[in-house]
Amino acid sequence: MDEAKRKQFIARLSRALGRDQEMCPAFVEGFDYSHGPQETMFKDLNKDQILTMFKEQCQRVGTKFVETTPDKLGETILAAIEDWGNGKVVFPSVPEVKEYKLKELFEQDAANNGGIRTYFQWDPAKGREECISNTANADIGITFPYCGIAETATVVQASGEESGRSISLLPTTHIAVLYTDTINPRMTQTMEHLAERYHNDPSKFPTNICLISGPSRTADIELVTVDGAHGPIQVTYVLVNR
Amino acid sequence: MALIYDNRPYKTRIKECLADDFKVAAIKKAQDVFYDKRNTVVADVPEWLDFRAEAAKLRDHVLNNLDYYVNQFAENAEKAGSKVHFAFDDKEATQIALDILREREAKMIVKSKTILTEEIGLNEVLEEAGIEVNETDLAEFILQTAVSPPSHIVVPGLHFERNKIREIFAEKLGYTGTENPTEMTHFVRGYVRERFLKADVGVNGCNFAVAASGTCTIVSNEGNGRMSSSIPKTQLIFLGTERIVPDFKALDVMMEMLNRSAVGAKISNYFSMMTGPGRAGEADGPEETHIIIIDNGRSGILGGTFQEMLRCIRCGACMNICPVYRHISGHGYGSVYPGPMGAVLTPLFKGYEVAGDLPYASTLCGACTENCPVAIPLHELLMEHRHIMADIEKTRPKAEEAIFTAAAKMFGNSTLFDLGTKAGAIGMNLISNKEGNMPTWTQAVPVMNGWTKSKEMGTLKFKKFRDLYAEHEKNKKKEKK
Repeated sequence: MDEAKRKQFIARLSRALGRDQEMCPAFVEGFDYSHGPQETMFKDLNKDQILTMFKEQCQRVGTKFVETTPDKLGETILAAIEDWGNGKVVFPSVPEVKEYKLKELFEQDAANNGGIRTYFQWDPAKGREECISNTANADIGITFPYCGIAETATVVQASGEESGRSISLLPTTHIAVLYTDTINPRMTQTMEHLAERYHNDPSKFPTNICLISGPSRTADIELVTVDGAHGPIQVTYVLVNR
Repeated sequence: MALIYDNRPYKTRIKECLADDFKVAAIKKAQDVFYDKRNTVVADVPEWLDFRAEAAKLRDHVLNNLDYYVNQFAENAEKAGSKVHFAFDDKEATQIALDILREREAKMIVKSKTILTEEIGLNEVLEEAGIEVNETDLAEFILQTAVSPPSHIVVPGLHFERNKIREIFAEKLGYTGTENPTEMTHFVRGYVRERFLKADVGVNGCNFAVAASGTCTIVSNEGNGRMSSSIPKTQLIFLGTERIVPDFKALDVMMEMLNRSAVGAKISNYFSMMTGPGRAGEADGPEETHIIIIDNGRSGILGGTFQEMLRCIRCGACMNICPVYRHISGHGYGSVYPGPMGAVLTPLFKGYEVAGDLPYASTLCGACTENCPVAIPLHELLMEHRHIMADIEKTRPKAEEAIFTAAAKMFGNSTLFDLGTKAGAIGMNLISNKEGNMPTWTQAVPVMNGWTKSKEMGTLKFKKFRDLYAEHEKNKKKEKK
């Protein structure tokens, strides 16, 4: 950053605001959100009601979801892959993959399915070009968003080393695996959580967080809705009740 | 594209727009669709007006402390690893971008939708320097292929019908498919995807920039914003100075307003939050992120009569309800910022000499103000523009001043008013047709045709409301007696 330019630039704003001696203040009292309606909306909903709200919004906007339990997660994911016509599948290197022995499950499946489903794991050690081009050729990407938002049927996808941005973006189908107990009623709670996460350690804050609500979509030609503009054409949320 | 892309006289522009039947019908349909959808999702939020007040307050809080927040944003963005640049105007901004691209020997870039880059004329500068620029938002892609200006800020390609788009694609891109929107969209998907994977640099705008963390955000449905911020090695983000919010919590309030107001959806399909470039060890995402913060006239608005205009979050709700926009479309304004918001903003950026007609592209009905999610008093600001032009800068024609001075005298004096309206009634009734309306030949008479050309104009009546009212009062008194 060009320091002299920064000072000039900020000074011009301070001058416009009529600041004392054209000085930018060193401290500004933060905005008081406590009176906003968002603070109290959906506050008294229990976990079941929040989940119902999430599912109802999915139905309203046409986002596919399936429910499962931790012990059946593997087979549910396989069924979701099959449901979208099989193909080449990319999955991340996140702890959940180990926890549910998904890699082993996929390897076993690949050995027995006659080649209709193939799998590879996101591995940053392979380098940028290979990771991106492999994922661009994949049909299905699996990710594990870290929370959900009920009001808008949104999954909050953080990307990083273990799970690249490309996985939920380049393949034609995105399968997002979400624990139902992480679903917040509104974006309000998600943003509070992100603020806390940033505050705790800015150096570990995800470089990319995407709030995903359904497939990639456009209505730019005569306002006709079309799925699959640049990102995934199809999405399934796998909702895990633990 | 420059901020003002059509320098022809206002009247020439609107005549051309009004004669384009498809365009007029497309805009009407879009307004109706957006109007219904917006009203449906807003009706679902009984707290809407409280949200609106909160959003306006929040925007004001930022604007009143904009120096502090821009500074804080820049510091935190650098902490996160982004490189921050400051540009006072369009020339500086495009030069900074060009320098960055040249240093990296960039040959091809991909862009997601940003009106700010239209405002500063980025594409022209880059193309002149021999850099291939690819617009990737479907509508922007259509416009770039067709070489046509935007007609709306959210759905800028509304003025093209599907058959025309098919023709353009066939002629310029060798497209051989049908005019089916899905088929054409998926054709563009494939065409643009290749470029996403090959591009040296990705260009993004920024809907809201979070001061507390140096985060830039993009609202998109197509995912092109995600593509251009995930695949190319270098990322350029163009940020208007006023786009700042204090913290993450503010995003919740702003997103509540933006998506519902823009397209009548609760949320966009994607909302990307980018904090710095990708870290070492990440296999995708940009290796370097440059944020260019652009003033380009904004500090001139800050702290003045028009500061409320800087609350604008570019949702398009004002044009989705405007009766003037409904007929003249975005092209009638000749500015990349059309509709009521554009009619306020364009003269502020470019002056009255070139954009002084725009504040008159309004009926002052106030629907825009009512529909605005951050409560910008748009019609009052349009009035303020007119007031400044007429009374302070005296830029209006002398004849107009004479007419309004005479009118003020007549309307301010009951004897003159009575005389004037009586004379008017006699005159109009003399020439009226048998239905009691002004005859068609008046449509050829200058000044008069302003009233008679587009509607059936009745005549002034000899018995006016005031006469009827006096009679009514008299009768009431009689009955009491």
